[in-house]
Amino acid sequence: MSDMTTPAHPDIGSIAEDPDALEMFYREHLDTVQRFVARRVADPHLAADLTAEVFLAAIDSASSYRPDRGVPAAWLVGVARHVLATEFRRQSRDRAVQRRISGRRLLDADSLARIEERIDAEREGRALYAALASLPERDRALMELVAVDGLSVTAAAAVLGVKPGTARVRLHRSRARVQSVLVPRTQEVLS
Amino acid sequence: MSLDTFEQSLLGELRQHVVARTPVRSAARQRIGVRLAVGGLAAAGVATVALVLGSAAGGPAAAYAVESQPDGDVVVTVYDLAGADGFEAALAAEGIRAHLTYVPGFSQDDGQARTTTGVDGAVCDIALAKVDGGLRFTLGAAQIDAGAELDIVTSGSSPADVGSPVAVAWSGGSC
Repeated sequence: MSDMTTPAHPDIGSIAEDPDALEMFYREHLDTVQRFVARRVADPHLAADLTAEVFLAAIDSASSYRPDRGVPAAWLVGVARHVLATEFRRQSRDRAVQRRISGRRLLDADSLARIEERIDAEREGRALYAALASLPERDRALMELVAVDGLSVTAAAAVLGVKPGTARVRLHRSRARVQSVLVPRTQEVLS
Repeated sequence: MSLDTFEQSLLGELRQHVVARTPVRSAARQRIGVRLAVGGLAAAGVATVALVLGSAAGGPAAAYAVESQPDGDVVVTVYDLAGADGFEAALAAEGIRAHLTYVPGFSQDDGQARTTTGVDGAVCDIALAKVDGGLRFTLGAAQIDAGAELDIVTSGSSPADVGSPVAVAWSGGSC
C-alpha cells in the first residue's frame, strides 16, 4: 500500500486532459491499485481488467477530486472501491461486461505471472476480506481499508467521509466481531 | 517505477483514452446550453431550483430539481447529472454539503438506495423512488441541520433507465 500521507498531486484534474500528467499519476499509484485489486480478486485476467477500469474511472471522474477530502491516493482508493463494487454486482447478476479497455488482452506470459504472484502474496488479505462479510456494509468498508489495505484510520475515514473519532469507535466494535469468526492465522493481520 | 509489458501497454491505452476524450467533452459542452432557473412555488411554500439543459432535440429538459419544503426537508429530483456542475451549489444553497462523484458505468438495481444506517435509521436512510421519469429522494431536515454531508455517486446520465445511475448516502452528523 502506498503512503496515504504523500503530498497531494499538483492538479488531479489535469490527468483527464494531459497524457503526461496521467502517466505521472499512473506510475505513482499503479502499485496501490494492483494490490487493492489483488486483495479482492483471485483471477489474474479479471485483475488486469479491473486495474484498467479503475484508472479509466479515475480519469473520467478526476474533476470530482477535492483536496480537502483527502490526498489523491485516498481518493483513488475510493474510486477503486466503487469500481469493484460495481463489478461484483454485475457478477451477481451474471451480466456480460463490455469493457472500454480489456486489460486481459494486454497480458503476456510474464505479466500474467507477475499478477499471479501478487494475487498469491495477498492470499491472507483476501481471506480477511471474505471474513468481513459478517459486518454491516458501513463497518465492513472501514475494516477493509484499515485491516485489508493498510490505510491509517484517518486516511480510511477520509475515503469514507466520516470523522476519525467515529471511525475508531466503529473499528473497535468491528474487530471484536470479526475476530470471533476468523481462523488464528488471519487474526494476526488484525492485531 | 519500471513497468512490465502489461503495465506499459495499459499506460499506452490510457494515454490514448485521455487524448480521445478531450475533444469529445469540449464538443458536448458547446452543444449543451446551460441556464439556471430559480422559481418559487409560493402557494405551497416550496422553493425550487432547477438546472435546465437545452438539448440538441430542441426542447429544454430539467436536469434536476431541488425543492425545500415548509418542514425543512429538501426533495431532490434527478433527471440527468451529466455535466451538472451547479448541482452541488444548488444543494449548498439549501444548507446541504454534497459531494458528487462521477464513476463511469456505476449502476445499482432499481429502487435500491445505497443507504446509511446510523444511530437512527429513520433519519439516516435515504429512499430512492422513480417519479415522473426521474429519480427522487427526500433529505431530512434533521440531517441537514446536524451538518451531515451527502455523498452522491453517479455515472451521469442514462436515458433508458434514470433509476440506475445514482446512489446517495449521508455521512457525518448522526449517521
